[in-house]
Amino acid sequence: MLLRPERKTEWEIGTDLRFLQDRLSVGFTYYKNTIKDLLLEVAVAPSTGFTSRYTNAGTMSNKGWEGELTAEIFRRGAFNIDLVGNISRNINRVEDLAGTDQIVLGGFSTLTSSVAKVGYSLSALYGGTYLRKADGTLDLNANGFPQLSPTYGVIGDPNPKYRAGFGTNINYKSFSLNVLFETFQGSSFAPNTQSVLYNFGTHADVGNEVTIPSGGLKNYSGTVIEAGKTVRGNIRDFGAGPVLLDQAWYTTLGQGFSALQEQFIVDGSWTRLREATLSYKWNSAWLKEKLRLSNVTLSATGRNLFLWTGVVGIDPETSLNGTGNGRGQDYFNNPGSKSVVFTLRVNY
Amino acid sequence: MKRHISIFTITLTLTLSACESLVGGINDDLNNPTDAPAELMFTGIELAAASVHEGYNSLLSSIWNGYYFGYDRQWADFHVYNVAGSYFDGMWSSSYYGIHRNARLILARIEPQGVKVLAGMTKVIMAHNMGTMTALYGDIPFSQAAQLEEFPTAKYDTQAEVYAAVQKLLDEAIADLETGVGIPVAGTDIFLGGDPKKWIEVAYTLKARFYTDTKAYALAATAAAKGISRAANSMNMPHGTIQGQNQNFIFGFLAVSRIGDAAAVTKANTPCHLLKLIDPTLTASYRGNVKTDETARFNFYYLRQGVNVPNRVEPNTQKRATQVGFMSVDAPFPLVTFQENKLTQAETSMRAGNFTDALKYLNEYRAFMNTGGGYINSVTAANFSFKYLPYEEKDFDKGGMENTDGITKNDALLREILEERYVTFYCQTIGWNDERRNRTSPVGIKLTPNSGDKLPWRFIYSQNEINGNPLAPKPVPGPFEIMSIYK
Repeated sequence: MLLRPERKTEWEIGTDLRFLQDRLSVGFTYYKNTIKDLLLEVAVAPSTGFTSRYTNAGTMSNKGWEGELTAEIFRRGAFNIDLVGNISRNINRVEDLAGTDQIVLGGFSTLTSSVAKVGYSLSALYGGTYLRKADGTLDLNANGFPQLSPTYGVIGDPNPKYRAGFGTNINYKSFSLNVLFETFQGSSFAPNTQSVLYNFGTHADVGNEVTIPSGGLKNYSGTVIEAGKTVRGNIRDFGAGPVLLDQAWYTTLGQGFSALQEQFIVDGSWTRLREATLSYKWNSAWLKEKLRLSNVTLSATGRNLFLWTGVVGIDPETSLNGTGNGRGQDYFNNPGSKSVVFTLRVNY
Repeated sequence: MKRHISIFTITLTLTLSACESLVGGINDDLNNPTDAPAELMFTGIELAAASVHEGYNSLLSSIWNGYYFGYDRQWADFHVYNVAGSYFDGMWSSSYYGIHRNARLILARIEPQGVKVLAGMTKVIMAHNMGTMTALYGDIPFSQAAQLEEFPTAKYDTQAEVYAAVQKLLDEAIADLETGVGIPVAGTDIFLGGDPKKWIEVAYTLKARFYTDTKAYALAATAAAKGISRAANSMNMPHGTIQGQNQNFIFGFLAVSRIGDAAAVTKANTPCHLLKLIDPTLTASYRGNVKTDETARFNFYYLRQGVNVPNRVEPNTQKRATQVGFMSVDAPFPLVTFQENKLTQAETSMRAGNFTDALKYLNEYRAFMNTGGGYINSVTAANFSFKYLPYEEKDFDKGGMENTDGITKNDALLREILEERYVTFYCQTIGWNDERRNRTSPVGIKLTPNSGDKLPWRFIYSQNEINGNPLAPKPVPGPFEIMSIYK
């Protein structure tokens, strides 16, 4: 089969406006692009007698907008305050994959993987889903526990609905302070470390003790636990009344090695203090005359000092697959680092 | 001006053609030959057969058939019947890419040249492969499979069609093998040394297997009469000791890559079904009696003091001076055996109501076992006791040693034959075929579900197949959906 080169077409419209003698500037851009004939290695149905082929695998589109704002909000003598901010939204869609339904980009093929799948954004999280009835509610088993659907599906999108940064720059005489916040909202995250620890019984979530309420509760293997007993586990209602999640659940369907990965997906949104720098520039006649130095700068910089997120146990900005297209997952990999750096700079 | 236009035209043409040549031929991988001598490719499909019959298909059917249990991690979840399509991708690619497509390439090359024996051997492997796949997955692509140019999406043949096509393929194979023309060079066939007589016997035993699967017992009996006549003619997958190359697959799984994931008992120490039958210490359920001692076979199949799952009885991966396990590092894996054929003769005789012949075949099998037959080598049988004295008719009469619960004589013998088949087919998918075939009959192996109150009927389709082939069945059948041959 003859292959064609990838081709990208894009249009963009934008504006850059300045007001109040350039003290306020506002920029806005809208763009839309389409990449045709993406070259990718695609898995094929085994019954063709082949496992994969390199092909012009399809079409992907991006559309979105970016806005930015810079303002000098205060300026008097040696004191000034600037504000900067930007916000962007990108909607990415895999439009077509030349006959195949999806391509695996990273992660674990039997657990949660990152895929390109028609109709979803690139790197969509893909894994085992709940068995559902026609009306979309969970199809529970006789004991009131969820069941695994025989086919996998998209279980989350690790790409944000929008991301933004905002910060300030304050100068007073020789002092200056830079602060930058970033936020990343509306993304999904697959916390594989957490879910796998459920299996081993070493995560705090599975260390709770509960007292069985009157009437008793069934566990995943169908055993009825009598009322009044205190057992290790959690009580949860999947829709057919409360059930006991204990070892029978956390070592089978309720753990990270099970195919039912949909149950573990969480909101991976975060906001962080990306960077803060305080510096002082010492610049005096004494320095020049006695030491023949032009100036000395002292500064302290902190990176990732504060993080606000609902993800437990790890900074969701971690990347399981390095720089590839897979994202939004962890599995015993290192988290991002937090750092504080002190600098002394001497200029001759 | 004209000159400018021509320069522009030339540049444009060059640019466009440069792009084409940049990506043209990118699918031609020089490190991945598209063609090879038929004899080398034949050895390749024999190797791929190991992964189809000894890989996930064996591992999962063993867990679902009571040969051992999924003990930890993913396998604890499979154990309770939670599976999804991506687990079966490897099986489907080994089956269709590793065997079926390459076998078709071999046939396309050698059949016009009149190389009959090698063609017959290739067809036997294809039939073994597709028959095994339809037994596990139901309706599968066969008539249009691995013909990408003609059928970019292969249709799903019904299970009945696949079984019929496999029988036809075996008939063709037998005709080819009987010519004796075109025996491959030494070293090509790692199963049976290229001996057409042995291959003919294997083909008949496979015919008998697939007729038995579909409950065509009279046809199975006829085929089995010409099947494997002695243990030396059995088809086994040979193995060696090099990790990642030629080790026994199940060893590689249980003792190398997934240590601790499978055991013969649950965490609460409940034994699996086969263990209940052959562990002499489990006296309430042990199948031994004054004529039968299963100690050696127990020690061949299982290790009482587990090493992969410490202090638990586990499938025996050890190769020791006094005890060599069924899945020890270089143990050959049974594919199509003398034992299977003999027990098929016993069962089909009983299905025809012929008690005398059924007992005769069962006793022939027991005589084979009583001389230390059926082991990897002589070590385990030399160090542990065993006894398989012939049964007599009165043993199956009401109140006899094999009929203490007072069922009919014929049912008692059938029950014993089916139990012997279950024990003999350790880790082979045919053991699970038997259990499913007899699940709704009064006599047969009766398993307790690992979880819930249902036993699974089938494996589910490869996720890549579901994604890539629009003709794949929708909605995708789950593991508890009954397949047509068992209805």
